[in-house]
Order: sequence, then C-alpha cells, then structure tokens
Amino acid sequence: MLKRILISIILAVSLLSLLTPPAYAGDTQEDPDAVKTIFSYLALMMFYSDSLDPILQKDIESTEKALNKMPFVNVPEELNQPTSEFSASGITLSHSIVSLFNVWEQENTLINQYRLGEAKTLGKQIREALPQAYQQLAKLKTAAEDTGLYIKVKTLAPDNALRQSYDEVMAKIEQLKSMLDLLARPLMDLQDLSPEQLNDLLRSSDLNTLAEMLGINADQLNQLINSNDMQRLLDLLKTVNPEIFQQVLKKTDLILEVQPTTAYVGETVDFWGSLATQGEALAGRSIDLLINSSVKMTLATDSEGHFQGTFQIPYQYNHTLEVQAVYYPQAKDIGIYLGSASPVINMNILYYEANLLLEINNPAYPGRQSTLTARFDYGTAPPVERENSELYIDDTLLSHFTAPSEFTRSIQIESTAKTGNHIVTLTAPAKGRYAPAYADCIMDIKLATVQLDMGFPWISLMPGHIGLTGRAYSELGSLENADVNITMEKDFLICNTGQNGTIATRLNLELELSLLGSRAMVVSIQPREPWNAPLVITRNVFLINWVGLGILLEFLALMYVTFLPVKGKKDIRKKVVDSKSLAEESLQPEIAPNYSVLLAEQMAEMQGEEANTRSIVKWYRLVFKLAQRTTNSILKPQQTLREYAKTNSQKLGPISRYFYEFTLIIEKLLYSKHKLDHKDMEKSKELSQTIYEETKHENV
Amino acid sequence: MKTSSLIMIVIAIVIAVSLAAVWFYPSFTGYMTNNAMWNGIKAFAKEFKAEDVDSLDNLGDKTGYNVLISIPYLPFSESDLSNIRQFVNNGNTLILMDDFGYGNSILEHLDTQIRFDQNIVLDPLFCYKNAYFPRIIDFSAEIKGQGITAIGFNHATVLNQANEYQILAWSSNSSFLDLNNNGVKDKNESAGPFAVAAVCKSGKGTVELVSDPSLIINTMVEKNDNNQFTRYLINSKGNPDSIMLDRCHLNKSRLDIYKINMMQLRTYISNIYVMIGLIAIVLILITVFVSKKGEN
Repeated sequence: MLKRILISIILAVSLLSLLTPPAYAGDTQEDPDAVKTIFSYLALMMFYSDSLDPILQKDIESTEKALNKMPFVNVPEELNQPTSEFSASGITLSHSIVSLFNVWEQENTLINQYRLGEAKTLGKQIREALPQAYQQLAKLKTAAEDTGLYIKVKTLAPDNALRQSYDEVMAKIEQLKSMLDLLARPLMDLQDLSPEQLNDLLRSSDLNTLAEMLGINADQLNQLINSNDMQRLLDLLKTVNPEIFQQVLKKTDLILEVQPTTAYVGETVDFWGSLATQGEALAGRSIDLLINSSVKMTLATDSEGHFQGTFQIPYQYNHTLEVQAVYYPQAKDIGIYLGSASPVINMNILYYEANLLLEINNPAYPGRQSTLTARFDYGTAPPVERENSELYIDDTLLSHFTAPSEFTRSIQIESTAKTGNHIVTLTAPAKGRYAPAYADCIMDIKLATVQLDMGFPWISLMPGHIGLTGRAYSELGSLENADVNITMEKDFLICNTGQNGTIATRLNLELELSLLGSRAMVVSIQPREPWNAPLVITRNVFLINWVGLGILLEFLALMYVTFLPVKGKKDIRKKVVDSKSLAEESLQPEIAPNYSVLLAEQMAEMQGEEANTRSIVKWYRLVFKLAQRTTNSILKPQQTLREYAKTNSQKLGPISRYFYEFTLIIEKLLYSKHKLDHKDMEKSKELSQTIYEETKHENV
Repeated sequence: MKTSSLIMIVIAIVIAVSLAAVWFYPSFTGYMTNNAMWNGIKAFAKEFKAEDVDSLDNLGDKTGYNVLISIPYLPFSESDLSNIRQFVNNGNTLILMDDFGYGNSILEHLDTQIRFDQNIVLDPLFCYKNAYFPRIIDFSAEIKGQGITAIGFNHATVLNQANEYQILAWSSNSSFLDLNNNGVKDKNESAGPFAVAAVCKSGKGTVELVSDPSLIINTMVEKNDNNQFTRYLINSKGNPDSIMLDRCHLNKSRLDIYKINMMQLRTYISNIYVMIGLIAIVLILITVFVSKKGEN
C-alpha cells in the first residue's frame, strides 16, 4: 500500500510539474513602483544653464518653453522650491528684460527723432521697472545658489563637470546683471546738469516758453535764475517736457563695423566706427562696446570722431555673438548731446568639438585594477594633448594629467570601494579653439562570488567527528588563508584555507542529550582578498546519538526484565517463538521445491535405509535441477512434483516422459510405504542416465 | 483498490487541479489583459473595453470603424501583414505601440517612411524616478488642446523619419539615445528632442505610432496623462465600434497559451448543440458504467 501511495505522489508531482507554466519575464519594461530613484544634478544644472540662454538672447517664447517644463523635472523634494523659484523668476525676468530693452530701443529711436518728451517718459519707465527686474534676478540667483548648496557644488573640484556647469550658470546670471546695469544708464538725462551747463541751457532756451511750461511767469523765472537757486530750478526742470530743449540738445549718430564677422574663439577681431552729431565728428567721447549686451570695453573717439580697436572672441563656445556700441553723454555732454546705440552685429563663432569616448572593463573589483580606455575624436580638426585633464570616480578626483588623443589607463579600485554602479568621469578643459570635453561611463564594482567545493555528509554519529575537505575559490582565483568558520549549534571550529584555497579539517561533535535529528551546519568563509565576497552556506546533517540510543535501549531492556510479570514474559516469549517460526516459514518460500527432497534425504539417513535409496534421491535431485534449468521454471510451493512434471512436459520435450516416470518412482519412495527393490533401483539409474544423455545433446 | 485505478484517479485529480489552476491562476506575462500585476494591461482593457484578438484572419472583413492596438513582439506572417493593410485601407485605425519589437515590418508593409529606432531613449532630467522612465512634455497643438501635459514612458525608443506635421509628441532636450546601453550620455550619442508619437495616413485609414507600449500597462496607465493620451489616440477619428488588442503577436507563457485554449474551448462548448452532445455522451458513459457494475 505504501508503495502505491508513493507511486501516486511521484506521479502527481511529475504531472503537476509538467503542467506548471514557467514565468515569462520581459525586459522591455520595469515595474515603475519598484525601481530605484536616481537624480541627475548635472542634467539639472545644464538645464538651468540652457534655460538662461534664451533670457540672455531676449527670447521670451523659448524661455517660457524651457522653464515651463520645470515642474516635470525629476529632483529630490528638497529642490522643488528652488527649481520652482528658478523657473518663475526666470520667466518674469525674461519678460522684464525684453520689455526693458524694447523700451530702451524705443527711447534710443525717439531720441534720434528728437521726440525728447516721449523719450524721457520711456527713460522714466525703465528706471521704475529696473528695481523689479533686479529683484527677479536676485531671486533667480538665490534659487541657483540654493540648488548648488543642496548638491554641495562648492565642495567639487573646479573642473568637475557639475561644478563647471554651476559656474556657467552663475556667470550667465552675472551677464544678466550686466545687461540690467546697462539699462540703468540713461541715454538722456537732465538731472546731472552742472550749474554752468544749466545756465548755458537756460540762456539758449526760450525763457517765456519755459516759464509757461513751469507754470510761472518770465519774471519769476528770471528771479530764480538770478538768485542762483539752482536746486529749485533743477527740480522744476524735472517736470518739464525736454522737447523745449530740442534746439539745444543734439542727437548723435553711432556707427559700428566688425571684421571678420565669422571667427574662431580666441581670435582677435577688428572693429571700428564713428560718432557724429549733425554731420560733425565728436572727438574724445567714450564709446562702450557691448558683447552680448554686456559692456566689453570702453574707448574714446579720436579727433575725427572715429574709434577703433580689437577684441578677442571670448572662449565661450557659443556659435553666435552680438556686438553693439553705445554712446552715453557724460560730464559736459549732458544737456548738449543725446545718447545713441549702434545697430547690433551678429557674429558667427567657430570652435572645435571633440567626441570623447570612454570605456571601462566591467565588472571592477575592490582592491584590483580596472582598465580605462579613452579616445578624443576631433573629426577633421588636428588632435591635441589635453592638459589638466581629470579623472573622477563619482566625485573623487583620481588623477590629474595631460591626456593624449587616445590612451589606456589602469585604475586602482580602493579596497573599501562600495559595490554597485559608480560613475567614472573624464574631463578635459577647453584649450584654445578646442571646446571642453567630458564623458562618463558606468563602472560596476562587485565582489567576486566565492564557490565552495565541499562534500557534506548527510548523516553522522554523535559523539564523533565530521571530516570536511574541499576548496574555496572565486572567478578571480583561489582563496588563500581565508578564515573558515564552521558551526553546528554548540560545536564549532575555526580554520584557514591553505594554498589553492584548500580546506581539510574535521568538526568534532560532542555528546548531547538529543537522540536523533537534523542539524544545520553553517560554513562561513571570510576571504582575505577585498575583491572576494564572504560566503555563508548551510547544510543539514542528520545526527544519531549512538550513546544515547544505546543507553535508552539498555534502559528499556532493564525495565522489561524488572517490571513485566512472569506470565506475561512467557506469553511474550511464546509469541516471539511463534512469530519466529512463522517468519522462517514465510521467509523461505523459494526453498520449498527442494523441501521434499531434503526431507527424503533426512528420512533416509534417520531411518538408516539403504544407500541405494539415497542414490535414487540424489539422482532425482540432479535430474530435477536439470529440468529446472531446461524449463527455466521452479517448483511452486503449492505444486507437487508430479504436477511440476506435467506442467513442464512441453518445455522438457522428449525427456518429459522419462522425467515423469522418474517422478512417479520418487513420489512412491517419498509418500508411500513401498520399499524400493533392485528393479526400481536399476530403472531409476537408467532413467536418470537417459535424461542426462538427452539433455547433454541439447547442450543444457 | 487496483494500482491502475489509483493511477487513473490521481491523473484525474491532477488534470482537474491543473485546469482549475490554469483558469484561476493570474497571468504574469507582460501586456496580457488577464494580468492584474504591474506589467499586465487589465486596467486598460477594462477601461476601454478592449477585446483580445487571437487571429488577424478576419480583420479585413470588419465593418464599421474599428481600432486595432498592436504590440508587435512576435514576427508577422505575410498573411497577417496583408490583413492589417486591408484593415487600415478600409478606413480603420491601427495603433502601433512598439519599442524593440517588429513594428517596422508593419510600417514597411504599409509603405510609411516612419520607423522605430529600436535604441533606448533615456532622459535623466524629465523622468519618473530615473532616466529609463522618460517623461514626455512636448506635444503637438492638437494634443495640448486636449489638456495633456505629460505622459510617462518605460524603457522606450524613438521614431525616425517622421515629418514635423506627423509628430504628436517629442522627448525633451535632455533626452538622448543610449547607443551603448551604459546608462549615461556619451558625446557620440545624439541628444533630443526626438519624436516619440506620430500619426500618418495609410489608404483610407490611419496609423498611430507610439514608441513605447508600456504606456498602457497597469502601473503606467494612470501615470501622468497616459490614460488621456491613449483615449485621444483611440478616439481621434471618432468613437470606434470596437477596440481590438492583437494578442497573437505578444510573447506568451505556457500558462497564457493554456488559458487562451481553455477560453476558446469554453466558447466552443457554450454552443448549444455541442452542449447537448456532451451531455448525451456523459449520460451514455454513466449508463454503461452502472450496467457493468450490476453485471459484476
């Protein structure tokens, strides 16, 4: 029955395992709720920097398009506020700058058209709007600084890509400030007039008209002029329409030329121009040269009102550059000349870009070297050596060197390096016409998996010992002198691996109370090499407490002898004897075929019959064996000799008749009182010989 | 009890348990409508009442306006391609959601110039959790008009050769194609924006392309405006009479195949004539068994 149940279980398990479908795992997606969050601060800082470009280029649409995406950036919660602030203030600032520059341009146009009253209104508008623009710029800067503080950008090396990106952001913010500063300077201002200039202005103006505009009569104006109360006069003039000075304030024309308009970064570009008023050259006047709306240099016009100079294209690696010249009336020119700005010249800037390809052999292991391969691909540009190149692992500077256009370096991984993905970054600072280059790649640091080839016994005796031999190794080689700790509850041993990581030891098992049971054997290996991972494996060993079991059996026997009643013992003994004899009978069904023959032998011996009888029986035994071999069939317990002979007559063939005849004689001998005579003896001999001969022919 | 009888009983129990397990055990395979786990599309199928299609043979015969959503992870036979072409030419809409599968074979067959790039696009800044989950925030005016502001992708690719007017959505400037699968942008790897969703005409019908099918998996469909975007794709040409999901070009586990077979069997059995026949066979078998027992 047990056999059937076992077969059923095996069958059921086999069928179920056949029907169990394997899980299909796709790799084109991941569970978004289970993945690790990874922030890219470099991408964020680059986005900051890129978003400032349209503000500098006075492009509101692009600014909004860029900064309106800010709510969707993947940043830590702590950076939500700074990023929102950066976005909001950036958009507002962009609007302000564009609006202010539009007004400034209009003011410039109006001045050139002598519409001084309107120009003054616009100038006032600019001055009123500027504080708000400065405030927005301050908010933008604070947001960028807060972001930098969070990512500890100041702790990074100056040439770190993230640090460089941050510095770029701050430089662009400074550029924005410079633009606002430019707007803060008025193209037309009557407030800074000196008393002499005011006198000149008043003398050359129509005092009656001026008095009317000031809301006073001509006498009162004359009194004011004569009393030298210049401050009151200036305060009054602030309210007056400057167009009344049209006759005295002269407009200026500023022309700027740049050659060439396409140049490489770092190249020197010539520029020249002229400042004139009503066809007359203005000599000794200061001209501001603006590069991308920020003052690059200030120079003076010569005696013919010309100015010229050179400037170097900044190493900014942007493909466009705006150049403009501005004249602001200063000192004695205030109240005489009006300011002016030249048309903007857009330059096309060229520079070399290198594709930096970086590869590292993965995986890397703590305490070992890993090989890094780098190649600068300059395209058609001539390759150069990149000085001050730096190699980082995450944020740690690894080396500072001059990088050839192609190189291979070994990187020593620290023994204490954390496992997992690390970013290896190579930065090459800008060099002349060569724009900065950087690339990074992932270095997967892992510990080598330790394998233990060791045969564990599944059963053991206690007290005793378990012999353990094996070898510990990893994909990087054998574990030498590694600490091996083997524990099995209270029993433990500490040893070390030998050369080639071999382990040969034995764990002594002390006597305990438990008799039988499975127990966990824990083998832990702590390698000496930092690149190998520790290993802990557990195997179950079935322990037999042979001492305990012996004592228990002895105790039970003692109990039996001591406490069971005599009758009971007898009964048990009887039962034991009966069961033994039954067992013997049932255990020897196979020998039944020979039982009668044996019995006959015994009887012959016991009764002291003639030797002839024994001979006949012997012959029959031999013949019977031959018959069994020929038929390949044994005598069943329930069969008589005659039945056996009949059943196998076909298989025996021609000898079956002789065998049957011999069987009848032997049955007569065994089961009847018939005494065998000489004739029977002869007949038996003849039959046995015949059978022997016949079977001999058949090669049995 | 005889051993043979015991084995028969065991086999019967095993078959019954297996059938019950196949029927009730949920699928874990991606994009399966009966998979309620993270990678299934049970929520999507329920929301849009989308029906599985296990053969494209009768696709060309469909009447009315229909939408077929195909996630082509298995190659298409010539017959399948012809059926799809016929389906689209009849004025229906094919929504082809692919990343690294066989979508380009359909596009070639439909004579459209757009192709799936099949390189992974990463976006380290505009993303959900990490760069492998790009967040798409640039859309055509029509999509913006639907109030869609962002959709989330999960291991996506991009579309190549799409005309400006065909593009429905772009990845951000900070996205890039990770050609060497190192997880970071190398200089030689092109940066965004890339087209990630597009629409084109084919015959009388429309082909809508999305460079990531994960848009509709259970854990993604509710993220950002994915649901709204999918609704737009389905209803852009009007309310369809039927929404079909091409299940025959999806990778399937053995469990899925068993489930599909069982469902087909159930459909077959639910036929009244088959049902009557089966009941008759069972009654005959019971009668024979009882009469034999009586004789014994």
